[in-house]
Amino acid sequence: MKGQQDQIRNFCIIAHIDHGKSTLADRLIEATGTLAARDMQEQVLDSMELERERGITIKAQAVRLDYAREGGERFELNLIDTPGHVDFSYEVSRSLAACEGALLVIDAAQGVEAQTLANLYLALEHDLEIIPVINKIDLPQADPDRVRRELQQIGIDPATAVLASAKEGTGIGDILEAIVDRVPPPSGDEAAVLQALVFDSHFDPYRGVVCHVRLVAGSLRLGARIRLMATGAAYEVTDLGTFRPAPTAADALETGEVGYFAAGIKNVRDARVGDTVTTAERGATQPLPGYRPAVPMVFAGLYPSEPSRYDVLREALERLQLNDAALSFEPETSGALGFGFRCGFLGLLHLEIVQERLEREYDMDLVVTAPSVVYTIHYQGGVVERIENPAALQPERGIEEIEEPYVEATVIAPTGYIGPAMELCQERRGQFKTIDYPSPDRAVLTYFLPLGEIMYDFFDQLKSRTRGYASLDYQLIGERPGDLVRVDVLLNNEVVDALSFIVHRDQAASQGRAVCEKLREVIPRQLFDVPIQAAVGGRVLARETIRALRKDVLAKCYGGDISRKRKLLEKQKEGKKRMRRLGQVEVPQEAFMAVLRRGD
Amino acid sequence: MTEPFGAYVHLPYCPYKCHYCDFNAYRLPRAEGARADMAQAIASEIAQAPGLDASRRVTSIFFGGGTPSLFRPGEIRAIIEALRSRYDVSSAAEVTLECNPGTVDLSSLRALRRAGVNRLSIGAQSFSAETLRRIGRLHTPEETRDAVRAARAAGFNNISLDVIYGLPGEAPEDSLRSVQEAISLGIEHLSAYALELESGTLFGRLAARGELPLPQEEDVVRAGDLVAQACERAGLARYEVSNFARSGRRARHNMLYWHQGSYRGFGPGAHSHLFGRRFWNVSPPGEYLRRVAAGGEAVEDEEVLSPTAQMGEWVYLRLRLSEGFSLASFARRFGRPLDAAYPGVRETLCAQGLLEAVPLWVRPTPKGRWLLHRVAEPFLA
Repeated sequence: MKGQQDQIRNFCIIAHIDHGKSTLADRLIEATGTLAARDMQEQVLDSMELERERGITIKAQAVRLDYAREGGERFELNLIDTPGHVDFSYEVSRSLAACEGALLVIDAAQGVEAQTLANLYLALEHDLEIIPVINKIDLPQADPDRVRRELQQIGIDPATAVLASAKEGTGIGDILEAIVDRVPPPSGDEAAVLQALVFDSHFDPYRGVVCHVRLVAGSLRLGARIRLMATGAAYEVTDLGTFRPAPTAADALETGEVGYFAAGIKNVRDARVGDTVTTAERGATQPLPGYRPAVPMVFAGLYPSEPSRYDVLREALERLQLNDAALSFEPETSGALGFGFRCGFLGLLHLEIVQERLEREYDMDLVVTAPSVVYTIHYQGGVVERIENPAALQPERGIEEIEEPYVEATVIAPTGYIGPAMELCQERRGQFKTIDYPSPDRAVLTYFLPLGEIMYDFFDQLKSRTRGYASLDYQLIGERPGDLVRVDVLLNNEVVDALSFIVHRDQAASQGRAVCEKLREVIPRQLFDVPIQAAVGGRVLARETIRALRKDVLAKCYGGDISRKRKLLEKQKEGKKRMRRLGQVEVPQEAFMAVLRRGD
Repeated sequence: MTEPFGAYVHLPYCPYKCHYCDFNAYRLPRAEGARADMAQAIASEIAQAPGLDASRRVTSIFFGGGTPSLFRPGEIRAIIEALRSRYDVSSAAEVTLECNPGTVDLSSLRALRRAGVNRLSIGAQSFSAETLRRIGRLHTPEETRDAVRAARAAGFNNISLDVIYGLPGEAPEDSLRSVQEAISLGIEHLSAYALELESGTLFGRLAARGELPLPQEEDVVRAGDLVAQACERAGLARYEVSNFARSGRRARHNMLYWHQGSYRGFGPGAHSHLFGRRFWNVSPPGEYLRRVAAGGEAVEDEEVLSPTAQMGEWVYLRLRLSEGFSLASFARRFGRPLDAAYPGVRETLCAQGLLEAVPLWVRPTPKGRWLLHRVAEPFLA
């Protein structure tokens, strides 16, 4: 079926986490007969194993739905899924750019949350037609009227809302009709030169990189010579088609359509999300707006537990990178940990995902150092350096100023919890910006906060202080100077570079103390006393001692004990193999995360 | 001289279970014939046990439990008889029976002596009435003293007492007092164990919840050192981590274990070691009785040690002994020098002050004995 632009609707689903986005997508796929119910894997769009387990969408996906309305008129509805986590907000924005409309899904019991708002604003920035869907109306606590009032308060006409229960399949027909009626069809120039937006890409071992594209102007044919405008590299299209939801080959993609193509591209970095595809000869002069190179915000050292596995780790990272353009890595050497890599991530979730994939798919046993943000160091004499590793800071060169990344954070919480939420922001060096009340029982707070302060446990803290009611969203807004110092940790009187961290001067003593206490808990006792110290520039701020082990012997060892006790000892020895030896001290892997867990 | 060979007999019943005990022990069933059935099954297991060990000369027999003194002397005698018909039991064999104060009297001890038992190991545990109550023992210190006096009267000249130190609420001086009381009874042998918390016991559960007033590690070490000094002063020399004896009165049967010697175990959960193969019986008494009734043996599983595992085990067990071992004995046993099998290990341990820096010999320092598992670790597989 050739897509006349009038018969095409491109839309996405945006929602706060757990408001039922994936279930709704499943129902739409089912209702249009794109996939028979019996073939439905629960939540087909979340296809990565990890995504299934975590219940979140990491990579965007697209699926084409063929919808026949009553009376026989046929439409091509392209559902473009979006990642659901703040770590991936750039990817979200590219997916939105490929659409003309958005289903804004709101849980009928929970109401408007931080990500609802953040996603709504993003969608409005992209000029999308918004169709509010009040979902989960089957829940006993559902309160659609309250949600309607909240919609009103955030500037959306509550009369346009569709009531649905994706779980029970109610309201699905109304949603499909609303998409056809209210989402504008694409209006690209069919005769113009090709401009296609890459809104996602993935690596396929047989075909190379598969780009997910939205054709904004012109058409794309099998065998065409194309160029990716960010890198300038040219390729020949070897394969193209649409997702239904399985890739289905076609000869061409026309203006306004959504689909995929492969062109022997070796690495997802060469076909980055947000890039523009045009023809190799006489192509478009201007790329589509909005492209941004991937900027990792959080950095951590990844080291193989066994030094001999260094090359395996490098190969694993290279392979992961084929499919993850936002992951960066560079070789790094640590006095404590030997050879490893300093890796850049979009956020902590991204780090955890990469770590899990390395452990699961590549059987790596890793030591991960505490994540750090990027600091800009102004040394005396006008030298400016950006450091991704606190150990790289060189105080001896004379520091004039350190800048750190800041975010603008939006916290939405019931009014009764605004006090604790503000207190937390204050503790984390937040600068209050605004407070709004979209409804009498809800407040929206905005704060400027250092990224380093919210990276670790801020959200967990926010949740626990508001009994789980608050939600959070944030966006990077740039760098600001701060009175920052590096805290060094000394184990048995030697600095362990992998444990250094940068904090505000006022917090150096308390955080140093917390790290020392944590280390005393996780490092097993040795045959001698081991002092642990936290110091700034040689001045000791905190000290703990791991007392020497005095007794490690079983009192009884008779006939029946011998096998059991030998095995026990052998197992203990096996456990020690996983420890790192720093000087004379045996240190378990979790010690390197002590900096991260200092707030626990 | 023939190589020593031991027979271990496990009698799994107790009148009650102590708070710290994780042995294969069960409350004595109410059914009248329970003990007789068990004794009979063990005799039958002995009679039918397959294996190449029938011709071996048994140099020691050990009745452990449980509380073997709960069994009637006639039942013990029957088991010894079964061993005599199956093996060549040396007339000089050490025959030990574990007993608890309050479960023996002069007449039962006389009967046991006549049955062939020549060594008693009495579970004193403590000489503080309050401590005994706290750890779940049903006897009093006076009953322990009575038991020792009765044993002497019955003709026993080889008596050992068990005591535990580092008990909840105990200061090192309290432990020392208990041991001094034990010594004052003129015994030939003493086993003094630091309390160990096992997960399946009441104490283990209480400790996990932080509800047991356990002494600090330094105090346990100090208690152990005080105990050892008191023993040495009284002529009871330490020969193993937890064992002290007058000259010539070391527990011969237990020495077998630490020498990685051969022994055959009978009864529920009993372990055997023959020709580098370790195997053990099923533990629950009911299952054991069924297995023996059905086929005459009750082996649950076995473990055949690799040469490396055997070597590590040998070193670990020898290091438990105060005398340690000679480099020559290791080379004789494993066909190569210790320093070739474990390059650099001895040197490091000496430098750490865990092994005595003496020529031709390997033995733990006092510090090394307290940290024996650190010492043994590099030798293990």
